[in-house]
Amino acid sequence: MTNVTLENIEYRYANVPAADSVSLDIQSGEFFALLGPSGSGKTTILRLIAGFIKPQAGRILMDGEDVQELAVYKRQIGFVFQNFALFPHMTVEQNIAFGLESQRVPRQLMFERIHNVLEMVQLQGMQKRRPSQLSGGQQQRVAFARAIVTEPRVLLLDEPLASLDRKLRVEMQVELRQLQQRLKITTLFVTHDQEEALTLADRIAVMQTGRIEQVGHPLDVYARPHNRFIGEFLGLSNLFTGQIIGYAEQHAVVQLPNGLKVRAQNNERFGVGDSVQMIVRPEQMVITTDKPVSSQHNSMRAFIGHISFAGVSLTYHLYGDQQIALTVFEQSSLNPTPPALGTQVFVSWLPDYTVILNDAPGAAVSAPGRAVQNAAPGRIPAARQTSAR
Amino acid sequence: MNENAIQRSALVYIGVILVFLYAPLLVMMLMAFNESRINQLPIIFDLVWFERLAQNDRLIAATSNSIILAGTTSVIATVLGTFASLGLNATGRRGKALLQLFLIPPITIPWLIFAVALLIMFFWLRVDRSLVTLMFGHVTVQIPYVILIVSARFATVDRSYEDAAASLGAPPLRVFLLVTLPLILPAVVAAFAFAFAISFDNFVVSYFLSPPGVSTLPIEIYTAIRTGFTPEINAVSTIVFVISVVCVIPAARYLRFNFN
Repeated sequence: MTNVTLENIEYRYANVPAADSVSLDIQSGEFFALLGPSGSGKTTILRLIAGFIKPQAGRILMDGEDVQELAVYKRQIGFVFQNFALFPHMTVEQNIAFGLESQRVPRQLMFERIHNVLEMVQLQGMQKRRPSQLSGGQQQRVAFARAIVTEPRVLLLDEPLASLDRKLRVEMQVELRQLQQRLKITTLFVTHDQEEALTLADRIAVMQTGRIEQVGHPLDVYARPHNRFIGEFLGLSNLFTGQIIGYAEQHAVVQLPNGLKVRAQNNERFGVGDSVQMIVRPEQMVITTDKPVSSQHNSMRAFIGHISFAGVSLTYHLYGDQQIALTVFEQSSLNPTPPALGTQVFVSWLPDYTVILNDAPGAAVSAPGRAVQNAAPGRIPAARQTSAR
Repeated sequence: MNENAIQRSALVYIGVILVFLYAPLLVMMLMAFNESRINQLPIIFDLVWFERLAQNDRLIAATSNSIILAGTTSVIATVLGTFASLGLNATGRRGKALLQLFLIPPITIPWLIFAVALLIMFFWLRVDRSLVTLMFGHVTVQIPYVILIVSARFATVDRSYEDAAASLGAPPLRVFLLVTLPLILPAVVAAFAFAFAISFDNFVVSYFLSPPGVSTLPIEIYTAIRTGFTPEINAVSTIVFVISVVCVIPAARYLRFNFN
């Protein structure tokens, strides 16, 4: 059980910041995900903690102890590489034994532990195989077994599931989560896949260009993103701009360019008269044909532009006044006969799910964030992660 | 032209190239089995030249000299060159580029010039020609090739294997012996085979640096041709050719051996 603390870590590759004043506090036993697009510096953070590279400024602490001068091989870490990095000239057993032999574990105990870990990752009987004789999923398990068999203080996972196909990836996510909970190893997980981060992690940190943008519980970061980049990186979203014109109970009242007034969660950074951006998740919106859901809801009249069907869900692309584009998800089973294209409907959503972002309208949004209006029709968030790479 | 025709002409073309390459060797080998002393046709199969060869002490001594010389110098050059590649790999990108640049001239300079330079240096240092100078000369010629071959392999070995080994608690020496070395081993073996071949058929450096009375196979063949050709040369050349091919085939296969 080890906690890891990063204090104002700086790391640059030829003046390009990969870690820009990064501070993090990872609790012992926690499953922590670093999420961000490629080039955001998340792997750099992992390599810094492992000791493969040294920070140019700042400190890394394990259980309060500065590890700056501690060589990689003394740090007691487990690292699972994106390409697994299984030693190609060794068998599964030799790969897993490598760390135990380095620790001079007695032979009898060593084989016992190899046996146990192979059982844990369900690879019994594969001892004598070479990595090249294993499938991607099996290689991933060996890499994981090799990393945990030494009982590391911290487990560092660098996109370990990225090279697996989608179905296997989802299976492995579940297994990984169960194993981590059983072992209670402090785990840092790097991924660019927002779904994976949301599924697995106790907490996530969203990174962009070497900076940590937001840290929090997955649901919280998803529901209350601090800025447009985070909001759009974590999933499809509806973005509105408007001006705060007053307050109603605990909500801010925002007027959209088309005159429509909506209520939103208050954001203390802004006051009456300020222009703001708001985000609403597509699954928080409800479509009704005759009238809005209730007066407690924000609502907007819109026309159905396109409907795409993706198994469990329907995705509606709608157009409101002044070409405001909306995306709404609906569970397929809820509506066996969706309204026809061009039908006028009401889109309703609760003020509590209307989040005012910290960045003001017009704030630069770097890749891969992009306006909902540009989103290709017929995509569900799962498809979005490919475009977010 | 359709695809078949292209393929066929490509095959014919490569066939012509191969004939061009192998015709002299083939003639030599056929004559080694020919009874005639002056390479007369038709070929009458006979092993007489191989029998004569077995009694030719000078040629046998020269051959064994060559094998011993090539063996020792290749081991020395492979070890030194592999560590040089390791060092090269540990330097920064710019240092590596510069050092690699300096490795090219020794390869492109004609061996004749190199051998003369060595001779002059030893003369200037007042070192007599001996087995040591001969070995020194061969190693000097071999090392750049070893470094180039092993470095090329280093460049393709993923650093993450070494990182993985270190993360598993292995100190640097253990990482090198158990992970890095096995991964570059194909290149080390190839470099050894290459170094062996360079030494074994080197004439110029041996001719200039060998001490009086010591002869290598290339020198002996050269002398034999000057003093009067005998088909024993065909026989010994055939043996050398067969051994070379037998040695090189596994090395070539090993080089192409793909871990993944």
